[in-house]
Amino acid sequence: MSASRFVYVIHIATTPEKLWDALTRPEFTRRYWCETWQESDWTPGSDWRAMTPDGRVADSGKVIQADKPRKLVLTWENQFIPDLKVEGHSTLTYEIEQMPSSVKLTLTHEMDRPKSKLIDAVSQGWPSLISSLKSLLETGQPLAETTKWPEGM
Amino acid sequence: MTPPDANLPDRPDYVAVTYFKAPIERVRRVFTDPADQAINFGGKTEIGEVGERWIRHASDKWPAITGGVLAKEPAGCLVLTWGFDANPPPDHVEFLIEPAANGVTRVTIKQHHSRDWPEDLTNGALQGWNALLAGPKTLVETGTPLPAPF
Repeated sequence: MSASRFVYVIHIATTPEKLWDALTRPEFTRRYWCETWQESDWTPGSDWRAMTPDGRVADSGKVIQADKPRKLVLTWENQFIPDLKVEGHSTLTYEIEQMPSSVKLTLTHEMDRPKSKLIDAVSQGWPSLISSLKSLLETGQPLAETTKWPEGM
Repeated sequence: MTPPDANLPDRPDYVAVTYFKAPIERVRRVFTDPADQAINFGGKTEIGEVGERWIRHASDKWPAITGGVLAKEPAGCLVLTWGFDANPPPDHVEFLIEPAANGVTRVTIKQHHSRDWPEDLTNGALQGWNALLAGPKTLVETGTPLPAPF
């Protein structure tokens, strides 16, 4: 088990394919993930980058595993906050399971470093983003508070 | 039962947070209205006054869960001890419903352990708190229940 770890489990009324697209495709992430979007061909070994709306790299890493629409594993290094960048790579895992009446998403963001500031920071961010993702998939509208990139960030 | 000390340690052992696209009154109701509770949790819940007990009655899906009521203030806050019927309630659970920006309501569940939990419980059972909040969120936002997945 990693020294620092954040886990979030949520159930969403959707399909695994739609959830996979919502986690990876720019036209979805721009709507609920603070206008950010990701660049990757989503194949193992490929680069992955998350971009801010003004074109900076927010986070980057490699695709470790991509088993569409069941499991996606990325390395994740922050690129715009020096205190977090210095910690190096974390690992993000999305696991998607079809349940009888919903789809279960398990998100694990972890780092092999005790008391990681990066894991602490993402632990504050993921609950509102995943809540907003669920709202978007179930109602067609995200939560207002995750639709804009924070001013001055 | 003797009410346990309501002064909780600063740092909870587990925190679950989910944001609801609904006014705080609607979110409070989804956790207290008997009809909504039956949809979301598969059983009737009775919550006594501070110092008394609360119980979520057993159903075909869930065992009974019970404990003591430690605090109900400020409004939207509920602090309970928590345990299954077979065991004395060993842990504290804080349940908070608070307004966030833009008409969004934040629901926070903080669990304070009174003993060391085995790792599989911490990593498995506790993750259920966010999953537990998924059903009420769907009901509030869409009007249609998300059947309990457990």
